[in-house]
Amino acid sequence: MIDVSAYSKYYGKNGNLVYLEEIDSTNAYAVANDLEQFTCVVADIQTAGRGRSGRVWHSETDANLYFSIVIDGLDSSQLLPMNIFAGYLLSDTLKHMTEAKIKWPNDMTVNGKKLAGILMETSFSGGVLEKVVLGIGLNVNCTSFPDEINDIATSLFLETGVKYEREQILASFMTNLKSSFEAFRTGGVDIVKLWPYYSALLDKKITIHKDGVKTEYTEKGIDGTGCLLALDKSGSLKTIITGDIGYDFCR
Amino acid sequence: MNIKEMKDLIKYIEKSDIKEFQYENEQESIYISKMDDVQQVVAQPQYAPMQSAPAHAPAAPAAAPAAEAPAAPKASGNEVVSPIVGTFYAAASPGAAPFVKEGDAVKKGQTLCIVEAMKIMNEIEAEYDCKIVKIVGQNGVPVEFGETIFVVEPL
Repeated sequence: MIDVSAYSKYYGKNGNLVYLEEIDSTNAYAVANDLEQFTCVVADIQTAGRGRSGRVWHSETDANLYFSIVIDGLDSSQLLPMNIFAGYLLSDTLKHMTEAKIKWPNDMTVNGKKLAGILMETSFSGGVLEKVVLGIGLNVNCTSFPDEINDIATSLFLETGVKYEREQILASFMTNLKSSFEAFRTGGVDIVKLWPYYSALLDKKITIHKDGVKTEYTEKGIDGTGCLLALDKSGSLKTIITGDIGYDFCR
Repeated sequence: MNIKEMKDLIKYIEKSDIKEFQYENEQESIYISKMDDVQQVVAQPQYAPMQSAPAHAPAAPAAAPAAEAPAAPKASGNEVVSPIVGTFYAAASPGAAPFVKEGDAVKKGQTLCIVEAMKIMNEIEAEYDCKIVKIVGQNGVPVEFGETIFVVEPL
């Protein structure tokens, strides 16, 4: 159970928080409802929390944080950069607990295991971008995972042996987001320059999984649109727009 | 205009009673609005690739969203077209029921499908109350910008 008063203690009373004990997906709720800028929808349980491609996010009651934030004012070209920037903010938020780094484009990892996932959703009506929602699932205090993901998933508790107050982490992320969003939106944040500080796999061998095919590359960074830059086996630099980095080279 | 000047301008306008502000020269055009129904700030140098509206375009607030995408495609007549390049998904997740079926009557704002582009899940909503005549997009198959994904009949 999220303690709303504890959250307000950290974040102040002005933050719009929608707390739901159980919801299919906080992202779906935030997209479907008319909510103000920076409204944060948080739930104890997501019954259909989606990962990208509809993968269901492992959802343990009360142990983890599942939240979605309404983000207004972005141009559609800023969506993928915002996804990357959200990873930077989350890494900064967790810095004093563990070193969480980004596995392009939307996973946060610690020692090659997934700690958090970022999933942005938007809605378009008649070709016009109407709504942008930033969703984050963060494994905070969970103590174990099902066998099939045990090798590739972790939590703050499993990494540090310490249980954390979810309200404080959420409030801290919201504070970071609010204080830097305007700079990001107006072009004042250079995501390309910052990438080396946050990437889990810079200059490392990676495999890109796309349509069931795995291809080896060496990660070299990102470009301004958020696409991955990587050297293929022949040594030429490629821009990777779609696909995922597999977990097979992460450890 | 550099970022700092722009920030100063935004700050100044935020504090003032000005509701809308527009400025244009050879290189850039800036439009800032505090009206609730438009994007809050649109500042776009002319050389930006996403620039779509001609410099002399009327500064109607409704024109502001057009700057965010390469010209919003018109849903001409009874076609719903994809506003972006991406992969068409008929359902929220594999195995889930599709958002809509042929023959369904849908309300304005109801989700028709998801187009996944650059890792972002984009829900495409009905622009008006309509009946789904034909689902043209195929699950998991890429769609182009402006490609027809649904044929609908306005209700």
